[in-house]
Amino acid sequence: MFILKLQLFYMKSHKFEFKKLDKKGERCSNTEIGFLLPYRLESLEYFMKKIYSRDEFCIGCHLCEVYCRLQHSESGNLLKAFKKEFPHPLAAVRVEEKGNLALSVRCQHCEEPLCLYACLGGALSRNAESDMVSYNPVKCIGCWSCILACPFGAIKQDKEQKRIFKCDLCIGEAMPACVTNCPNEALVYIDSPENDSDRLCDNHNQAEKIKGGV
Amino acid sequence: MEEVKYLIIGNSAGGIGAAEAIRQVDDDGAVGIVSAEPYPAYSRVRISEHLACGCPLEDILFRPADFYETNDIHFIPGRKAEGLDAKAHIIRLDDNTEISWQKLLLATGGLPIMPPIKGINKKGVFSFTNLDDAIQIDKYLGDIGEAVVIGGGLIGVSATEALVKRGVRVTVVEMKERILNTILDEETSAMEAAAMKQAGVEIIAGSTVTEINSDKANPEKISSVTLDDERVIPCRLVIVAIGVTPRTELAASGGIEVNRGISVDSSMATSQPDIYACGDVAETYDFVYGENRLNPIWPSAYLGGRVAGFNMAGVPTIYQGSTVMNTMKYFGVDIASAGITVPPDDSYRVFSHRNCDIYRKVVIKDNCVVGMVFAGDIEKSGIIFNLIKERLDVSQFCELLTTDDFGLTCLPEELWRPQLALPAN
Ligand SMILES: Cc1cc2nc3c(=O)[nH]c(=O)nc-3n(C[C@H](O)[C@H](O)[C@H](O)COP(=O)(O)OP(=O)(O)OC[C@H]3O[C@@H](n4cnc5c(N)ncnc54)[C@H](O)[C@@H]3O)c2cc1C
Ligand code: SF4
Ligand code: SF4
Repeated sequence: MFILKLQLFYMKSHKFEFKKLDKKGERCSNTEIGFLLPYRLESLEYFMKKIYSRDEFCIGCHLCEVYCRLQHSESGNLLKAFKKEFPHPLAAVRVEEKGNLALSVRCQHCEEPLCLYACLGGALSRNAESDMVSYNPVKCIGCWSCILACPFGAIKQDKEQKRIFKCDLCIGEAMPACVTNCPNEALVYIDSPENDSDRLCDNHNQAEKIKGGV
Repeated sequence: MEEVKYLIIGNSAGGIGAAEAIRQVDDDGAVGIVSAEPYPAYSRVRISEHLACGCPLEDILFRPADFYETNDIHFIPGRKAEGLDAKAHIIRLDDNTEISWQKLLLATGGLPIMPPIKGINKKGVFSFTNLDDAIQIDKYLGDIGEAVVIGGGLIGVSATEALVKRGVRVTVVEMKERILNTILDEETSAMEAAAMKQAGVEIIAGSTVTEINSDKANPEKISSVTLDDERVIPCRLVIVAIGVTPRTELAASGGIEVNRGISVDSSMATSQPDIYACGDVAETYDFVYGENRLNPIWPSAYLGGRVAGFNMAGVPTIYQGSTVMNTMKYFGVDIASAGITVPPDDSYRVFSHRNCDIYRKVVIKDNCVVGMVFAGDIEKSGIIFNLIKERLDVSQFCELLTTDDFGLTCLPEELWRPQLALPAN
């Protein structure tokens, strides 16, 4: 069991007014409050590794999408996966491009997963071992409630199977397929963005090894 | 007398949200959950599946069956809390047992509204808000071929879909001029109505049912309904789905301040010390309207419960608020909507885009998004919903919000970089 430490923290500097009701239901007092869930979980053993984009290196080649799809296909074969498989494998990552900016977006396994709190089927849960927000396809009813709740638009609609599809960090693999296969090292799989460059390098070496090893 | 540290009345979205928050910060304090329903926490939204295809209870539970055991929660199913003594910190159950608590959460949800229509007490008239309703309708249905659903809101449409799947011909009677009028705009409600008609559903909008009739020979059973324009619709089953009203009687019995729902402050506390409320029973902060309102939807029940749970466990937490937000897939039409979908006057600006089945609309007031409706492709609806929540000034990019390639990169970097990307060197 993780030892959890809660710390007050205001995610946004701007504030808005909160109106309290009086007995007759009219507003009587305005108290300023901080914005957005003003708590943050700080687990002492919180080693939730995440995938971060390095947008300045991203050339918008969409290979992360290709390899994500491939990783989640039945056949694991590039040609079969796209032409012959039904239901079609999906990519849990999306590359956005605007002007010079290219950004690879996927689920960030948030500390406060709004998708999970909105889930009507009980399909989303916090994985006790890995801490990731994992998804149980059997429980999913395709109600899309989680999609409206996710601030990053990170959840996909699998219209063929009438349920969602989202990033599972390629559970079971040493490194998520998108990170391994990004030709420009524009994706990293690390503990936190503030981490030292050593660890960043470590991950890259690991990715290189995996790439070289296959 | 049993003593618990935390007592939760109501075993649904709000109650479970609170219990999970409490257990996240307090492993030891005794938690009790009292539920009038005899089942472990199931998803209310999925009762239509039970009706449509006999989906068993285990399948519609939204937490594992061993949830109470693993979280060391004393679950008291099938018991109604009937009396609340706020001063003495005691709750009395319907079997006269008493439980004393230190912190109490009222997550008692809503009750279906049953309008005073002539014949509403007849056999064959049902509401549709809990599993027992679905079980009873299922038992009663037999070879019934025609039904009337009163109310074209989310619950009515959900019941209609289940009945259609059972091969029943359904007529939906909606009082207002269109179905789903409180959550959708004209376009999307027309899309949904078209899909329903395609499935053989008849929709009578702008009408109300004035009487539920029986044959003389069989006064117990329903034979038809009469509308306000004297039309008679034959049917043998009626589902009343005109809405829910907060179930506040327990709160009122304890002297808690009740407006339309239980009044709560930003920590979900009621007017009585140590008593909290959340979900369909409470009037909680709505960030679109800037005031407390009833928002009877699942995500606000869970989040409100979560905030209440933290506060009950002594971790000061503030409820950010919510607003009406809905997604649906009924009859194959995917729709996501939130906030104000139909601007009430011309001080609002509207951007919309339609390409066949794909439709996007955002409603803007004072440079902030205050509402949205997406249909067809709804994957990015959450990004817009987040803008509503953040009350961000969108004047610089408002015309991009409804385009095909709208995404996070259209937004200021502060909104996505901290979570998604490494700081650029
Ligand atoms: C058919 C249907 C479809 C819906 N679809 C959606 C949807 O798509 N999206 C969405 O967001 N929401 C939807 N909702 C609404 C959603 O289910 C509710 O907002 C949510 O369940 C509210 O949770 P709650 O915890 O406040 O209360 P409830 O779910 O109403 O639960 C309250 C519980 O408390 C118990 N209780 C009440 N009083 C007492 C007492 N005195 N003693 C003991 N127990 C008591 C009740 O028996 C009940 O089990 C739908 C609802 C229905 C019925
Ligand atoms: S789906 Fe969205 S809200 Fe849920 S954990 Fe992932 S990024 Fe966060
Ligand atoms: S679509 Fe699936 S995962 Fe998303 S909220 Fe609905 S049941 Fe949960």
